[in-house]
Amino acid sequence: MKIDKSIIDLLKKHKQCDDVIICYKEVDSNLSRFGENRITQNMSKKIEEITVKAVKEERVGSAVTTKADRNSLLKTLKNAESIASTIPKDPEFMPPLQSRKCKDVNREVEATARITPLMKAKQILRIIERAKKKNAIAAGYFYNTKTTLSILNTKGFFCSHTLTNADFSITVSVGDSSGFADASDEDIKKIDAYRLFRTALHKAEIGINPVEIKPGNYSVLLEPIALGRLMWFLYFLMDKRTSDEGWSFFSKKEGKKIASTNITIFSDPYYPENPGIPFDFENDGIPLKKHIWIKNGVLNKLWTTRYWAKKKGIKATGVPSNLIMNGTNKTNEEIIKKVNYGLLVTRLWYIRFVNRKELILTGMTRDGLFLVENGKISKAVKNMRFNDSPFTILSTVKYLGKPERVEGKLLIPSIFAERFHFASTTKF
Amino acid sequence: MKELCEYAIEIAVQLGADYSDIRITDDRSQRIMIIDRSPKEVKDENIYGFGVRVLKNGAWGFASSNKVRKREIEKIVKRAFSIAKASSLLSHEKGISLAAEPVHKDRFVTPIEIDPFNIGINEKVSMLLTINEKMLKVKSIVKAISFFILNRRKQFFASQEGSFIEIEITTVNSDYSAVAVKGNDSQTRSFQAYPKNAGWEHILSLKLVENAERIAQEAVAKLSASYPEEGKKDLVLNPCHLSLTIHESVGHPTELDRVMGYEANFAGKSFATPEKRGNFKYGSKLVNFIADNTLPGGLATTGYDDEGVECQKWDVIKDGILVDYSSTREVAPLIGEKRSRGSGRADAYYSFPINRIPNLYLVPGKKDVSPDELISKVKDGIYIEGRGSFSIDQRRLNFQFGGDLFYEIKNGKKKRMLRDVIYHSITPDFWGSLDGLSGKKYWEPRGLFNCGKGEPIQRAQMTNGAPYALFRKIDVKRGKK
Repeated sequence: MKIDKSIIDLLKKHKQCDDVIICYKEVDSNLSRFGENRITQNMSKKIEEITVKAVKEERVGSAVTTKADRNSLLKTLKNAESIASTIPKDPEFMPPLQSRKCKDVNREVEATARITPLMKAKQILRIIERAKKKNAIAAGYFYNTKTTLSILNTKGFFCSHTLTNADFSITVSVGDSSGFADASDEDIKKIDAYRLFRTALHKAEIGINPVEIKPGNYSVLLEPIALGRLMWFLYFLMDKRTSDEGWSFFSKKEGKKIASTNITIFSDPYYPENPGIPFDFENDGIPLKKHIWIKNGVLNKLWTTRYWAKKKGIKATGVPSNLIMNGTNKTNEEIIKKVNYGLLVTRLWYIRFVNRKELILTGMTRDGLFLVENGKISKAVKNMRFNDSPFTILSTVKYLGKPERVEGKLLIPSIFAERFHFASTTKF
Repeated sequence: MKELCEYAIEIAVQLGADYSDIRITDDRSQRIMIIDRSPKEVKDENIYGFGVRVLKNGAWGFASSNKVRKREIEKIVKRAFSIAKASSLLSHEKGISLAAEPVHKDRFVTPIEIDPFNIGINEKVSMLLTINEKMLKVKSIVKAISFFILNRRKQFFASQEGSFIEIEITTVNSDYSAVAVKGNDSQTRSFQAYPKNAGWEHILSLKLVENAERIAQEAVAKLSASYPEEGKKDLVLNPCHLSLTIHESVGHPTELDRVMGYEANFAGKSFATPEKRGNFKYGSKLVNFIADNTLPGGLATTGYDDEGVECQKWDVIKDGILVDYSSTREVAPLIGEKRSRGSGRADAYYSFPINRIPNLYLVPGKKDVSPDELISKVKDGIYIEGRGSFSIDQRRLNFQFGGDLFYEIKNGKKKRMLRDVIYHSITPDFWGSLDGLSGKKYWEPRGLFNCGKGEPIQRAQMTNGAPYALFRKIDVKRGKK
């Protein structure tokens, strides 16, 4: 379905409510998964989802359809209007955003959108052949998508953003050991699948015959993929409302030092090395701009939605679409040379809250945990469970590495921190 | 619909597919979420489309579309076929062969008494607002969150083997939470109702409104509860809590695709490898797990899975010994099985069916033992109610769980409330320490509504039932700095 102002004209003609908001999402994707050295899924899919929000006297009713034609859209509008007319007024109602210009970010690369399942299958099978020659087993996926997100309303607001993404992710197993690597980018040309394979293979090869060490406090060098898993929690917890209500780790901490002075974390959809969606798709399309959340270790700001911003008399930031942490030009190898004793953590897994208010998390290491002694990786170590806060790490940072894009939205460096608590060990 | 399904299969046969199937799926969902006094989301969803699988020379091709019409079906079948054919030409490996399944021509409908979609939205919103109001009236409660999710899947499945299956599955789910704050401290308590394949009658039976004030009061009480002593303790776990431990430490490790390495990149592998089948001591003799996708009201009780395999009932762990797995048509033959266990599920028309946990339950004790009788056998322990923190390693061995409400047990009696309790174990050690089960009367069919697996993640639902259970000498820690 073509999403443009003609849709709004159509809805204006047929609506019986005050205003209509349309959120449109279209995803064209090709996914190839592999495991045990063979392709297990090879698929092509298209998702087209239209959310119609009917606004009537401070009430909002929503209806969603995947039937992208005129009649279905009007039927969906009727459904949303019927919901809006039966529910009570929303005491936190915010009217639709007024017409304004949205500055877009170019994230569309034709070559990425054009990758076919066959092209990916060829590349995967070449990697599988290399894995077999090394007596290794490969598993992972190669995924490419083209996504369009649009928000428009009968007040004249219109924002649209199209992005392409290629993602190659691989786990290589050698005997009982495994290594992992992953990369994603708007541009397929920036994804070097062979380099990722070699990285994962190397980790698996040096991870053979791990030794068990005692749980306790260790210095840790977290690679960006490992740190990225922890940073996700910051990403969705830095909400001013829960902080003001008193049930967040960040409560009463604005303006206070919460991390080492060498830590600065910000969001900026226009940041060239890690662009993001320039509007908040989940919150009315609030235009996003640069915000510094943690500046030189001090909590500078928390993100806000429109209702809470109005209540507090501040400007709504929206929920950020990316997160960027400052770093240096140091490579991991250079940092390892400076470490006398510590653990190199390459990947974390199954992270959950232990204590939300204190932001204590638990999770496991996987696919490569190593002991670093006297500036060198000395041995592989059996995986361990951590019980600690990301701010234990962020408060004891000694060295920062070169930032890398991970998890699709994050640009973060390796971090060497002086303390992190491991509570138990596992059998492999 | 039957005509469209037959057309898809006809095209696939003409192209030369070795196997093909089509699912036309119409998912309707009503989601209502109230935060404090604000209807944050009142939404009616309709996700409609079809997905086609084609197998050619041992390789899969899959394609899907939201345009359910003849011309588009032809295009998508051709796309799925070309992907399968191209993939098979590249591969030098022995291809996929599917476990046999009888041809089925059937219709399965979840039995319901009251259609949840016939209950007015205003009635549902009003019920949730009442719940939140009752919670917010309790001193120190700063946040009340409640929701309904009501789903109905209508699906038509047809395979090249001749099956044509129509299903209509209705699922209802609701829950709510209260957040209490005092000074710089905060605690949350949830009602933890359970989802069920049923009608609105299940929602009414939960007594949601009647329990709201108690839940809020318990959230506040948790603020002044004591922290546990760390060390080895006996644990009495209630069914709601234990269902999640079962899900993570028995359900996932016995998914055969994971065991065979299909999910090594993300969801992980399993310690429960095939050579252990029939001889590995998973737990004490009291440990009996049955998978049952015919369980009335079970979240995986769908008549047939998304590969057209009839739902079944089987033993997974018998008298403490690992005896079987959940499986799909693709992975069952890898361990010499002739038939899939019917665990291939897709979360939408555009997703490829993967091996999911079935309805899986811990069999209750033979005697009519009550929870209080289990507690009476404990000298120094903790009673845990509800779900909290949960995490497990990628081979499903080292796990750590919290809970939602805790009481100290001293000399056979439930004593003071505790807070921020976590326990840690290794899966076979944990199940090896099972020393008591309550009777059938106290068994509950709890369920998981949002089990995530696959890349990209697919959501699945299944029931994991349990009685109350007593575990000896488990490592307990404080979930606090």
